[in-house]
Amino acid sequence: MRKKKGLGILLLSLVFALSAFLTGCSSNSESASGGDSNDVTLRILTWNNNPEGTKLEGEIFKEFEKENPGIKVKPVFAPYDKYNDKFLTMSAGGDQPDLVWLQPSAMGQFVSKGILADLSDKKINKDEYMPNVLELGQVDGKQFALIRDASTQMIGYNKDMFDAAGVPYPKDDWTWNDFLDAAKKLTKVENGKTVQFGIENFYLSLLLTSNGGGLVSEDGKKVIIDSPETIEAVTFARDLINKYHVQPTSAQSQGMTNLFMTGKAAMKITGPWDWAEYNKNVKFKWDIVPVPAGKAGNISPAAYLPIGIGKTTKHPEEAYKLLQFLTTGKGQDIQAKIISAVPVVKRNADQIATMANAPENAKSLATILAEGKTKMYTPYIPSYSEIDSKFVPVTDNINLKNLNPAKELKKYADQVRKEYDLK
Amino acid sequence: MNKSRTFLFYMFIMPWLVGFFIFTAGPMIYSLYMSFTDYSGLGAANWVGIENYKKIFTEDPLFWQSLWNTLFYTIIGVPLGLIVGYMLAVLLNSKVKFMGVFRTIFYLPSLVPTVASSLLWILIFQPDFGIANAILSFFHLPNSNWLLSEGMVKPSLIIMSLWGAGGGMVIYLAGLQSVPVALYEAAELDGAGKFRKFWNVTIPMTSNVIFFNLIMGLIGSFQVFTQAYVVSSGNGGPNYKSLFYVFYLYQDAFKFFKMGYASALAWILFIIILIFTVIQFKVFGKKVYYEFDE
Amino acid sequence: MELAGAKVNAKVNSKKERSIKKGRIIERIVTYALLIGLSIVFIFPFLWLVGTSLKPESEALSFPPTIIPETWKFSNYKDVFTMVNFGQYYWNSIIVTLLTVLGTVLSSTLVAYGFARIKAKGRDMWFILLLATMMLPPQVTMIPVYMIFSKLGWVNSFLPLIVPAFFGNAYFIFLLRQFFKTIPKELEESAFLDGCGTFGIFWRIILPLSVPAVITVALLSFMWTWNDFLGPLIYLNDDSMYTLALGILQFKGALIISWGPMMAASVLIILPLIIIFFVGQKYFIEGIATTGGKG
Repeated sequence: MRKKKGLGILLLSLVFALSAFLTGCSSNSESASGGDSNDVTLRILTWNNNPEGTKLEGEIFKEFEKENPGIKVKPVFAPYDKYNDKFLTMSAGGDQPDLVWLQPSAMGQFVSKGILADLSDKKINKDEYMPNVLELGQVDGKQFALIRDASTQMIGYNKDMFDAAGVPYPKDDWTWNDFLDAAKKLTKVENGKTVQFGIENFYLSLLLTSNGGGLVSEDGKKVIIDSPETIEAVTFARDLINKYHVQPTSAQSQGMTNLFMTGKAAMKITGPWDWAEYNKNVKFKWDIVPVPAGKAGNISPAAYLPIGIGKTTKHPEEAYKLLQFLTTGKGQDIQAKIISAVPVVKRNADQIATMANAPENAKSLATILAEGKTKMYTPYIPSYSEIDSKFVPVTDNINLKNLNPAKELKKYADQVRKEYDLK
Repeated sequence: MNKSRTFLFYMFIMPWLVGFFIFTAGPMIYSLYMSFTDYSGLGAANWVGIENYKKIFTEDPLFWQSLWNTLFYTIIGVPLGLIVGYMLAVLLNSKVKFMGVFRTIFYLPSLVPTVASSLLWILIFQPDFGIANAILSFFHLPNSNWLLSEGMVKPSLIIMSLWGAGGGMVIYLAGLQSVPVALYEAAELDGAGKFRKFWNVTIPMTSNVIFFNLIMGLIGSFQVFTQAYVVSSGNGGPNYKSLFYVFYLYQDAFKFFKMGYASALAWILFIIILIFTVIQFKVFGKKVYYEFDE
Repeated sequence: MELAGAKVNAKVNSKKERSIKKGRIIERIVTYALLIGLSIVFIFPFLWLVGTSLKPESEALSFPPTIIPETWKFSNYKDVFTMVNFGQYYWNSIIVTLLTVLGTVLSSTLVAYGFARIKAKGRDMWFILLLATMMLPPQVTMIPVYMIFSKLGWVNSFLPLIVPAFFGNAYFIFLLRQFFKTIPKELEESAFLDGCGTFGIFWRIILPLSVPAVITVALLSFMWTWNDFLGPLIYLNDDSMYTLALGILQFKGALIISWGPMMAASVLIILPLIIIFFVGQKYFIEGIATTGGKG
């Protein structure tokens, strides 16, 4: 029996010894300045866009370290949908990272709470970048972030299916009506069940943008949820499902995120990040085409990654060096090859068409970007995240119960106006 | 004698007491303070008094909706879970060959990571080709939209929770093991059949763990979060019918940067859970059988 | 044999004997039928998980969904180790989990004993407080707790994950208290007469008689810690320190999800849990708890 007690004490001391050992061997140089008085360590908070992303981004950071001896980059990772959890706790605990990847929906909040450093006084040459890019990092005209990559979503289509249905491939300037025509011809019903859909899921954000609608005006002051353009777009989205049946209902599409890839849908909204996936996994010929034009033309929402510098960083100069590297310097030259991230600098505009896995019509993407045919979808006001999030059940309801969009949208628009003091 | 008992008591609970004061008390008070501010999680926290609480009760329909959703889930799900878990444990307590294998299999679902099992459930409840509707059709029963149906989404989630009854089941098993065999023998000598033995020996002698699972089931169910989040892909389900309280709270805190408001929500929930628990103690607490009842 | 394994009094006539035997056979059949039937239902998600882990990406979410892959892709398992630092995560999980379980068992048994078997002033108040600590959603205490650990300088180490375990876990304290209260006072009294102090009673009487409960606590604590990602998410910054539960989230990128490797990773993560459960339940259920003779 005494043995048992001795054993217990032995275990306890072993445990504490281990803990002490663990404290020692971990968390060295957690503070932004390293143990070495010469080495500066920059921490950058990121998420991963694809599973290997963390590893691959690390290669870009290593290039930076090679060019900048004395500066070390330490990436800190948080999953995309838990990103704010990590950032808020780090901030509150006084551990804010030096650089941070930004989710557009949170930009408004971050800026209004003074989290990001104001970069407006830095020497930034607007002409170095593709049109409309710098603005994506600005709030009220002040530069709070620089953009690492900017592209947009387009329509990917199954060439084999188009051939089989005798539908000509879409042209870069096609319209909603052209799209509807094609989708109808590409939808096949057998024995009362749809075996092939025209389109997998036409995200509302794209319909809104190509028609000039949206939730809040770009300057963040006016609510446009009930504007005629928005109502038109929401109606079209609803009709795709309920009237023309070219898109599955939520019941039909639940749990399916790759109707396109498994050959059950002829078209899908895709971006350059999908290209590698398709080339690896699909068995049919495919290509891309810009989003069909609504009232506003073939315009689509910008898909981009802003990176900012934390205001409380102890190394503002080194941090800016890294930011520069990633958004303007050598990082822009190697990112297309390493992680298929579309560069934002004009000098690399031709890399888009030759990116690995680029489909035949990749040059249409290059054209879109060169002509600035993308629009910022998320105005940077603090309440945007909530407005956007609560918009989804409204449109889901409209689609599910086939309600009158004008009425429902006006209801929600008035709610938003009241709640957030907007026009 | 009494003084040394008191001293001993505090000695034994010292680890928890110390931990409470270092890691728990402070943060709880901090969050209470936050509930009276407009803290967004970033920047300053300005005192706003009972503004948050006022807003919650008078201007927030989602508060009521999420509270109702959570209450429904709890009041129906907890008793159901108790019964199903207990029955499974009794079944798994029989002395049958390969029982170890069976027990492991029954425990498996609660080991599958939520991110994977929620996806599986989405497929099971798929209205067009999911197994759930296939089974209903087999019995000529009307199909349902399950997770997409305003009426059926909560029952669907309750069914999902029953699948993961493994955790409670393990505790019941341990409890069943601790019932003295002599009591069963004595009951049989008195002519007791299976049912009598179960009702008069098994249940009272495991009332300690039944009560435990009741209380913890309550506390846990009121704070249900992950499954609902994943199956509704972060939206709160059809027309908010599966928006659960803690998920709503979490969204306010970490997506909409309304940490002060979320803290108020948290403390309201705290009071509700506390009241429910106290009621359970008063109603059922006395009925639990302990050998050592001091 | 069945539940009680009781010896039936021989004073029954043969007719009753036969009908009892018949009843037992039917009971057996019903039990087996239920067990096998429910097993199919319960093992289903795991089978689907394994099946999907062996499918190529294009098949992973096909409809109607399949369990058995049409094309077998064993390389998903290899990919798990090349896409992320999986081996390191495994090791980290082992360290964190084992130490946490140790701390939990040691501290929770001590505290539960106090609550269960020592009558003292203020005990009920502290017990209510103990329960109350579980009633406030952790989402709102996450940040202030982080601030405490940040001040201690423990961020980016395993300490915030392990150390609190040594201060007791309210859930397990409550559970153990429920078990400790089922042990008769007479056993204590006789030990006391033998000169055993309170701690001795705890160590030599209560604990040995509570082996099923203690092993249950160890088991559950292991499962929870192994699968916990929130703590690691907030406190760990270096990829080299990640545990499995956090590491697996990397397969879910913002733009692309790798279902095949993610399911494969899930299988690899669950495997030790299954083994531990299978081995562990033999110990706490099939009667190694015979010391002290509760039966």
